[in-house]
Amino acid sequence: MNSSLSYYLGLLAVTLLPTAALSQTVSPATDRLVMGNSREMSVGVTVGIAGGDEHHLSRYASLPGKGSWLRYGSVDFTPLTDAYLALSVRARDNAELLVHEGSTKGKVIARVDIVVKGGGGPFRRDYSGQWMSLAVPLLHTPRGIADIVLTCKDTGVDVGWLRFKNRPKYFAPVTSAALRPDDQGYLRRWLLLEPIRQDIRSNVVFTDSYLQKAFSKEYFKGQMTRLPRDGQQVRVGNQRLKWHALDSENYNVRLFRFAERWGQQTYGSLFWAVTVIDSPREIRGVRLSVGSNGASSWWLNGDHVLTLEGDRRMVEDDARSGRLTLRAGRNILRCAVINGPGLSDFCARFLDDEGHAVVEPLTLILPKK
Amino acid sequence: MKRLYTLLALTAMTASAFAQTGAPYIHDPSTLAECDGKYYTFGTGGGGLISDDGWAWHGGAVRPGGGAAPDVMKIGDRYLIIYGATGGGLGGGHNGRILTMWNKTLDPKSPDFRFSKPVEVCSSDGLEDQDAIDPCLFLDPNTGRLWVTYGTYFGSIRLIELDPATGRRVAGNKERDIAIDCEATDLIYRDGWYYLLGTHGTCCDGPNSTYNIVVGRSRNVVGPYLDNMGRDMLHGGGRMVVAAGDRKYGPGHFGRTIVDKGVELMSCHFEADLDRSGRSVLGILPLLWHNGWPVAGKPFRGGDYEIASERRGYSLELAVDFVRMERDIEPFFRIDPNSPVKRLDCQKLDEVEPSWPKGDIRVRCSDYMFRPHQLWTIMAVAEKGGYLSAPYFKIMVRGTHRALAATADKELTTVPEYGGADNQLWRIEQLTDGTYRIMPKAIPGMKGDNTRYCLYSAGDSTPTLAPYDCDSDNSKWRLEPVGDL
Repeated sequence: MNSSLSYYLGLLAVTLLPTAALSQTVSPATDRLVMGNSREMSVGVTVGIAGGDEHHLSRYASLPGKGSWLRYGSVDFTPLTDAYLALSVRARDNAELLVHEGSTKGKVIARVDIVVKGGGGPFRRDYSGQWMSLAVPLLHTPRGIADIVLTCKDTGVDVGWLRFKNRPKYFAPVTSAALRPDDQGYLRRWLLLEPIRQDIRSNVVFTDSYLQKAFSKEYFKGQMTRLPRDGQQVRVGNQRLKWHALDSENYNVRLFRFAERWGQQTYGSLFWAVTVIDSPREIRGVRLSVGSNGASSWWLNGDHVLTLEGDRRMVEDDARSGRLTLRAGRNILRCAVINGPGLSDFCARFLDDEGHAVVEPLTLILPKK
Repeated sequence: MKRLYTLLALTAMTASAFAQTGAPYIHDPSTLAECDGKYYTFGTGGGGLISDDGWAWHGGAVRPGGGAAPDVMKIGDRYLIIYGATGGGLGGGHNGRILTMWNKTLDPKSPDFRFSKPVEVCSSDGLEDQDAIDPCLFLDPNTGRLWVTYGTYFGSIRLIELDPATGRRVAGNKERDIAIDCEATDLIYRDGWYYLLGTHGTCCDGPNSTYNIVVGRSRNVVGPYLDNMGRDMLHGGGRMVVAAGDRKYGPGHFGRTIVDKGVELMSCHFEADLDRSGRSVLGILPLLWHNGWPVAGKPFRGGDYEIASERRGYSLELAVDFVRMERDIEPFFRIDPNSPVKRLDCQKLDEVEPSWPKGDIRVRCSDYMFRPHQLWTIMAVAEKGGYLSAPYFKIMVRGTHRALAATADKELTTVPEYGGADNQLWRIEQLTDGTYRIMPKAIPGMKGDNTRYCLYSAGDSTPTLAPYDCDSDNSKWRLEPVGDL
């Protein structure tokens, strides 16, 4: 049977089948939820078959315009921890799709802005009539099992599939009393302050004198002397910012993702971070080895030991301090990272003079609340 | 006086002779592709450049789809083009899509010129740790499998696999993260190693762009790619291949072209060419290999040189009498250490030239004594065109108009006055080991441009013209700057 004949037979089968005959199993929200398999659709909503590789051969639902809706059920939202919505859509012009819980008037789970015509200059684009994969944050996450209902505005939208994706785990709250550096020596336990808003349009500004000015300003009391506590709040200008005690899941501390989760802004930010390194004995001749995106400055036990200037990207062992001494007992490592647009992160470890990571005998501790 | 003339002529040709000529304006160029004797490269926004000889470039290449940073590769008898539909963070959002399409030809004037419908091969959803832009195509010479690397600073560089028969994603293929903190990646293979090139630094900031190209390598196409310090490119590692220099800032978007065995080039753009109003221009540089690592060579500019054989190290010279320097020299056993030293002059051209024959003079190789008959001025000839990476040069005895020429019996001679004939023009290309191949543009009696016979050591003392053999030091020459004499 040639492919176009099977295509038309498939289309015929789809339109003739009563939609109620489709299965009503519960699908995890993390599955690819095929909208052509919706349980209920308003009059005028049709189902078609999408060809093409990236979207696979799947049934899509076509919402003709305002007033049309479809109900997909049932969806189990329990697997979601910190999720966003990915979906495939097609439209003839700029459109909006709303994903509700339960009914057309139900709480809005996500608002999807479908921009098919946009951009400027060499990046002007026109995706009218083409399938697009989009992702949007969730405005509301249903609990347990619920139906999802899609509506649109005047411009009709074809919807292929929906899929709720859990973001990777970037941080875990500190629960253990102490944490060793990882086997490459990276320091993963930090007190991070929700970022301070900075007016930075471009990362070209981070000269040594700019950084000296930015990092020597007093944003909050005791910023260079006090050891903050998990949950402690500070006021910086008109921002109320909180300290979080976190263990990074990666060797690098992904400040952008921290800001996305807990901050008031991601771009144009100044991050303060503090950790406490407990050493059973004095260790001389170690160097702090750091990479950061963007520029950063570092202080050990109150002394400035390192600055990385310019529009940086994080590179392992990018810069090292001079030879330092870790005291027996408590050592406080503080850093400030500043970035305009783009991802921000840092990685830090101590290396001995031969370039070997200092792992034993250090432990990272953060004082209890 | 003759020296001054040479110096002035050299400076006057700065803008045209030492970089690709014509209108080589492009951003994010694809790897160079050859089609029916012409060269093509495609860029961001659409379109691209065409060259008839590889030296003079002009606009006119056609690529629909807009978007950014395409790449192109010939597979079988047709061309696969890949490009990103978006511009990354600069073009708004991190929701990227990468597409492929085919064409039988790259020549927009050909009746066969027709792109197939673009097919999406991968994408980024906008919120994940990835931004699907800047793709490159890599056909593994060991396995025949087709790979694509893509991505930019927002998150990771990823590797996916396509079917070389269709240009579509291989069913079930999962993306792999192989690097971070770079963009405009390229994959190449040489001698058992896969190399991942990535562009670091900032683009699009004119003469303040810090763009530079680094590399890591792996025994396996899926990584891990490590730099010379053993640092994973997933941790930002990379060894420098090329950075700013020669009055050009911001090299980025590496592509490799193999001209011949042992003759390789890299292509890129320079964010700002200070000799061209700071515009973004196509760059083509020699690609050298040092201890298993690629590094960009410098474009050959000409100047005053000793031409020494790699075979023995004897120097190319006119077959004329060696004229002794008569100087009042203290023998070593009668040196008075307390008497002051004086600077002695070298032998001058006018001391020896009157004794040279007036007509054609043959050449040979002999001990280098920095004598006038062994010093050569190599000068680009702007109006005679060029080849990939350089213009044609004339090779003249320093201070004279006497020029090296190829003869019909594939030997060498010098003519008293450079006349501009094709057998007096030379193609000078740096080989991957840093030595040079020197080839006449034409050999009298042979049709068309010569791309086979090069300056060759038949014996230690006997230069000739013979087929280029990359495995023999006989085909190779060192160009040593004469310096201050």
